Amino acid sequence: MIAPLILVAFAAIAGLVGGRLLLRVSWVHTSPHWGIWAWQALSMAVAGAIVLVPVTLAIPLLPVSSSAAQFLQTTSFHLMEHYSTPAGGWLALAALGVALCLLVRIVWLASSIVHRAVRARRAQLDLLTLVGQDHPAGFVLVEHGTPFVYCLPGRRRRVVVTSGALELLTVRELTVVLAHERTHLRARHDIALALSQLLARTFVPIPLFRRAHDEISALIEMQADDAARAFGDRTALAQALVTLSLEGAQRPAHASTHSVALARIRRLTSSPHRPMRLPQSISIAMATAVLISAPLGLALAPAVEAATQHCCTPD
Amino acid sequence: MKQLGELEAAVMQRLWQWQRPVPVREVLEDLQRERHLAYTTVMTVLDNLHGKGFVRRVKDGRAYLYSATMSREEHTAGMLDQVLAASADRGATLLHFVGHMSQEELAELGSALSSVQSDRSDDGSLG
Repeated sequence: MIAPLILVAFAAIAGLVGGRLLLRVSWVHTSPHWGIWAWQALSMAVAGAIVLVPVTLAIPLLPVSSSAAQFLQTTSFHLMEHYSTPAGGWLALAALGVALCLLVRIVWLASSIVHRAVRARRAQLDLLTLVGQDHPAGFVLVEHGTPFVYCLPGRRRRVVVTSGALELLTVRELTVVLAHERTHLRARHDIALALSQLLARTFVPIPLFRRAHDEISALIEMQADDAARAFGDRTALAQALVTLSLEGAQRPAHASTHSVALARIRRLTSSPHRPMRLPQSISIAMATAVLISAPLGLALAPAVEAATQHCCTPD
Repeated sequence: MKQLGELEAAVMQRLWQWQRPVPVREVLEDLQRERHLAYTTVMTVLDNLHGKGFVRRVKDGRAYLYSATMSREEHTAGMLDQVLAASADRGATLLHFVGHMSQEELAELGSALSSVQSDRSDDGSLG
């Protein structure tokens, strides 16, 4: 019975403390790929804990196979005892309903996100084939005055550059901008975004997931900036950022008051970053591994307790 | 699939160029200067384009006359509008290089901005 309560506490504490921590530590921004992973690990841990709450409450109702009980060297009855609650069957039934609703919701949202993305990409590619021309430098050029550069992820991936952008950018700047976009495509940032968006939509009342989605959106830009630096210098990238955001296409107003572009330019023009040292990356890897496995461990704790307690062995 | 897209683009090219309603035969003859094509292929392509809303058709006797619904510029503008709208959603469909920054945000950059722009004057432009 304690398991669901501990899971709720874990979700609340991890969500609050972890969320605040990741917003403060510097390595998240200096090593963005680690930052992305940390936010993903935190989201998975909290989401996992939340999902496991109704599941652990519903276990008394679930047909726990005798083989599972045998594996733990206990009986199913003894096992169930460790998961039962004073509220008894009704709570377990309600919990089962909640768990099923959550499952349906996640599956439905996931398929809706994928379906919409596929449809939008197909429409975009159709239009691109019509109005775009393949440029020898490996992107699609479209005739348009406003400078704009973007990429279309997916199986038929493309980088699109408007003629306005081509005119404004120098050769160096264009090279790094293309490298930035290609990093998005290669690293499949679209998948990372889709996953964080899925969690944000599944658990709407919980601010952590929306926050994670916002942070990951900014961090993928920084990761792409870092990768682009191999193809040119930071200054060229910062220049391109300034040029394109000054002259570029107006986006509809966002809820966020600051733009990622500002953070990126500051990051590029500040002192050169040193790559993360091995001890630090090892400790982050270990911490995230513990974080992700914690919910399942907490959910299985009563079962382990049942196994270790002295019990009648079935004959 | 890719070949069909190229063919559609080739057909639209002609429609945008001529800017008048044309029958299938005229499009076919012009395309045949560059490649081998069957009448039915071009007819299918124009049918697809009609289905997608890129061309309109008017009956002239027994045949249809096709013309573009929008200019190439309008198509491009429409496509980029879609891109901007999708990017506002911050979904996974596309990843644009950078959004628009306000003058206030630019003012915040201060010295960082001026050092960047002074370096820029030494660089040539792509043209």
